[in-house]
Amino acid sequence: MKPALYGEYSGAAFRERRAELAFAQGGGRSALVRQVTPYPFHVTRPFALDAARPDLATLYLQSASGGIYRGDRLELDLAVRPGAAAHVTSQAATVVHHTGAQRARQITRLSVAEGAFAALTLDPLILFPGAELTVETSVHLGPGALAILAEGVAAHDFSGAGRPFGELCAETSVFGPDGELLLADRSTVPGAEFAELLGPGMAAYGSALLLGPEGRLPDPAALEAALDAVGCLAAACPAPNGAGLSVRMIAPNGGRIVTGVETVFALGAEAMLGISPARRRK
Amino acid sequence: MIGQLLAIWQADAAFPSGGFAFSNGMEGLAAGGAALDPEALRRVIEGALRRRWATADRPALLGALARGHDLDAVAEIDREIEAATLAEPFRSGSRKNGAGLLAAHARIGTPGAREWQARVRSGAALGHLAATQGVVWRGAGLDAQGASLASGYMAASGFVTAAIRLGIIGAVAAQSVLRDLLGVVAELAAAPPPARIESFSPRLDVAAIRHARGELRLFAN
Repeated sequence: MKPALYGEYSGAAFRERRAELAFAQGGGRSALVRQVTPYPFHVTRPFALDAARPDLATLYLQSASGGIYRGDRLELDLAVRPGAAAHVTSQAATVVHHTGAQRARQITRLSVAEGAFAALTLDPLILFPGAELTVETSVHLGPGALAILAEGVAAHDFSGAGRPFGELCAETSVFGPDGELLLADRSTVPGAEFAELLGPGMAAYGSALLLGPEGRLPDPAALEAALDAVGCLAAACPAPNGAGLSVRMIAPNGGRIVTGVETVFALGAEAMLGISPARRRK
Repeated sequence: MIGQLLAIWQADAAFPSGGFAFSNGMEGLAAGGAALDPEALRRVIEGALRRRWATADRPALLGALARGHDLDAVAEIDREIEAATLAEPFRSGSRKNGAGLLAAHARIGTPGAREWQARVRSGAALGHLAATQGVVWRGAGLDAQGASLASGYMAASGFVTAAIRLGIIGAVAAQSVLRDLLGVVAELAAAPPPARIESFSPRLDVAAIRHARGELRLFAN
């Protein structure tokens, strides 16, 4: 599609789709035992990319359409069953187009069972002018479960006129083994205020949660230093109710957030799984 | 008339609420080298008022004020504040500031203060500032409008006072910034609060978290 048409295209709008993925441990690996991926969801087969942890399955989640459109409601249920280990990542950034009067919704439910490891690391959402999006993510942790969530957003006006996106409304809730709320990261930001709240020269934002007990988490100062080194102004601190670590990242563009998300995953996997993970090529 | 006087009494820096000890990210911003002329400072504070005070502190305060007679309900709001405050320096700062305000009200015998203090001391409640303001301000006789204005003014003047003490702005020039922010507080206090506690202040979050590990600090956050 020509950039001039980005704002007008709405051929794939108002989709209500729900994808389901489930991993289970068996035979020394984590198998994808359930896969429901209606259009526009598309996944690769699971890869075992880390020789030191062959049981860690890595799956690339792709969008077969050109992004998220007005009125879309895209749901993903991801379950990692007891003892399994899975990393789901995106193939590329996702564009959110002008949504007009019908905001789009992206809903993710992640369940990490007892003794399981899950990572959901996503390239940034690129919010075009007029895009209004609600992102709801809930995480349910079993006893001894470990999880990494990392994602981001960037504002971009393809016309170069600096027009803002409409509004981003986000909520990430994490629940413990007894169903108790451990943390709720909620925000609403109008596009017109986004750049001001990030600071001079910044246009992208990322957040990450590393969920697990203190002994299985990276050192916050080391994480900040590693993120600084890849061009993200970042901060890491203990999350509420002993849930783990919370990370904020601010960057001049979405590309830096992509690298920041990779860095969070690398350091998180090292602390949680004791391996230095192979680069997830995209 | 007494409602307005009660709000002024609580917002007055002479009341020993302990708020002077908290910069809420301003010190971290200054330490990080942010260039803050008066206009940039005003915009930073306006952003914090719009996307943190109005959307997190104010709904929590109004919820606690309305349910101040039911400390179980306030404790629920208190726990929600804890879960929804991701930046640790703001979380611990809110609890410490709440304890300071509560100690003053317990000493002067504000209705409800000692009961809430007993819960906090026993560990049954965390005592976040907004929840505590709800309890003690209800006991002191403030209504929702007075409580909103007192809280909003304290948030705005707290940032400005921190900026003065950090040498970011002069004491007189700061009053011009604060005057401009009064309109923002009035606008936000008149709007319906959001249904949920939420905030978006990444720049201040990052500044406060990074600065919390520093050895030389003037403020608690």
